[in-house]
This record gives sequence, structure tokens and C-alpha cells, in this order.
Amino acid sequence: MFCFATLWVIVFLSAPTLSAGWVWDTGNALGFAAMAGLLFLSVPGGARLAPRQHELIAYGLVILVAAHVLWFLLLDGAVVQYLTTDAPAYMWSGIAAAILVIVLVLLALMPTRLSVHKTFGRFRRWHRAIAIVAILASAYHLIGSGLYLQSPMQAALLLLLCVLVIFGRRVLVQTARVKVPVFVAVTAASIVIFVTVRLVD
Amino acid sequence: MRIAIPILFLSIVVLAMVGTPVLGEKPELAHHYNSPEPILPMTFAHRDHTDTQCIDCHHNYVDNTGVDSCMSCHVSNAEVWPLFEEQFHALCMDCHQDLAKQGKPSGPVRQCQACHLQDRLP
Repeated sequence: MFCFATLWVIVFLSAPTLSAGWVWDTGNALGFAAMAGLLFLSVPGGARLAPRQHELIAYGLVILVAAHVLWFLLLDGAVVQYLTTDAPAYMWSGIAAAILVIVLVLLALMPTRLSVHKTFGRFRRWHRAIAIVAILASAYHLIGSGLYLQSPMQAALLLLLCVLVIFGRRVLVQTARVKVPVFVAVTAASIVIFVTVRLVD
Repeated sequence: MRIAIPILFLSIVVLAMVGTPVLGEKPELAHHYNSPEPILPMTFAHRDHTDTQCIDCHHNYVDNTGVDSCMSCHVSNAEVWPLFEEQFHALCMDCHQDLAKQGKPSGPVRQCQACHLQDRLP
């Protein structure tokens, strides 16, 4: 789970114990977990990540994204203003990333995939291209909001991680077989760590 | 998932349109402080900021760029109005976060609704 570990290290480089309360931190932990999941799914798995596991983890990613949005809409009455046309670009970038994740999943489902793409190669190219745009949109959402990534070094490291995932397919290959329960456990543990470290202070 | 995704998407749209049923007071967009465009309310209490130097916020005390309250210029001056959100987020959040990082009592550091409520305090 290189993506989770690296992203969490980057997040905790600046003011690791600065808490905004468990409600706010949990909502953002869901968002960071979604970003880590998106990066994880973009790392080539080869035979080690079976298509069915990739599909199930992608469903988990959609749930994380939805939970991130619903959490804030439910528990912070001001956040809804970030869904209006006056919202800053980094929020629109987050909305675009969320929609792209949903598009990625819907267009990969059978029989939609066959009706949209004539060949598997064509599907893969489009799937990968949309995933790259989703990753970059998510990165801008995290960096632009500046809530947890506050230093230029954190921003640079996040971009480096994204570039590594996008272009480092020859060096960054999943070395362990990851199944859905493992992914769920790592996600849950990451969220708990994100919140509790800040509550301890 | 073919059913779950539309349901999740629909619940987000409904929640965004009708507002949260969980919270009591919700900030409403309006022409607060006679702003040219609708903005969220902001709560600020001078009595909570007595440890802060006046000129940390009231720059006009030393640079003579304005009189009266912050809002008298920052919502009416065509040059600074476009920077309103950015400037006030930076002014309030940076200071609160600096205090929190030093382990001192601070106001809200990230939460939107903690500040964006109707102002009632002196």
C-alpha cells in the first residue's frame, strides 16, 4: 500500500497534530483515502491485481468519494456554497474529479464498455486517460484548498507521487497481491490514524 | 453498482439543494454588510481577540487606507472586493492556525461553519 503510506507521510509533514475537530478531520480523511485509492488503482497490477478485485476496489473508491461529499454537506452548513458557480477553481476541480471517478466506473461496466469502445485496447487507453485527468484534478483540489497540504514541499511531493504513478509504470508495479478485505482494512486504518493523531494533541 | 451510483449521486444533489437536516442554524447567502454580491455571514467577537494587536487586522490605523469597520472598505472598494474571500480567509485562518501550532488557544482552524454564522457577539 505504497500510495496510502506515501500520501499519509506527505499529509503529516506539515502541522501533523493540527486538528479541526474530529468531524472535519474525518471528512477530509475520507477524501484523502479516496485520493490514495485512486492512485492505488492506477498503479499497474499485472496479474497480481485481478480485474474483479480492481472493479470491487473501484466501487469502494466511489463510496469513499460520495462519503467525503455527503459528510460535509450533512455536517457543515457552509460547505454547500462550494458547489455553486462562485466556488473557487480548486473546488470545481474536486467536483470534476469526483464526476470523473464515477464516469470511470460506469464506462467500465459491461455491457456499457462494449457499446462505447470497440476494442479492449481502446477502452484501456480511454480508461487510463480519464484516470490521469482525475488524479491531476484531485491533486489540484488538495493543493489549492491548502487545508492540509500547506507547504510548497508537500505540494511538490504530492505532484511527484502523481507523476510517479502516472508515468512510472515500469518501476512502480504492485508487488503484493491485494484483495478487497486488505484494501478495506488499510483504508479504515488510514482514516483512523488521520483523525486520532490530530486528536491526541 | 449500476443502481447504487445514481442513488448516491441523487442524494448528493438533494442534500445540496435542500440543505442539511442535521444542523440547526445554517448560514445563508445574502448581501451581508451591504456586499455587492451575496456572501456568507461571518461571526467575529472583539472580546475573543483581546490578545491580538489591533493593527494586526486594522491596518488602516497605520497606513491610513480607510476608516470605520473592515467591511466599509472591503465590500465597497472595487479594488479590494474581488480579494475579499481570499484576504479574510488568510487573515483569520493563518492567525488561528499559527496559534494552534504554538499550542495556544485558537479559534477555528479549518471548519467553514465555525466562522460563517450570523454575527451576534460584541
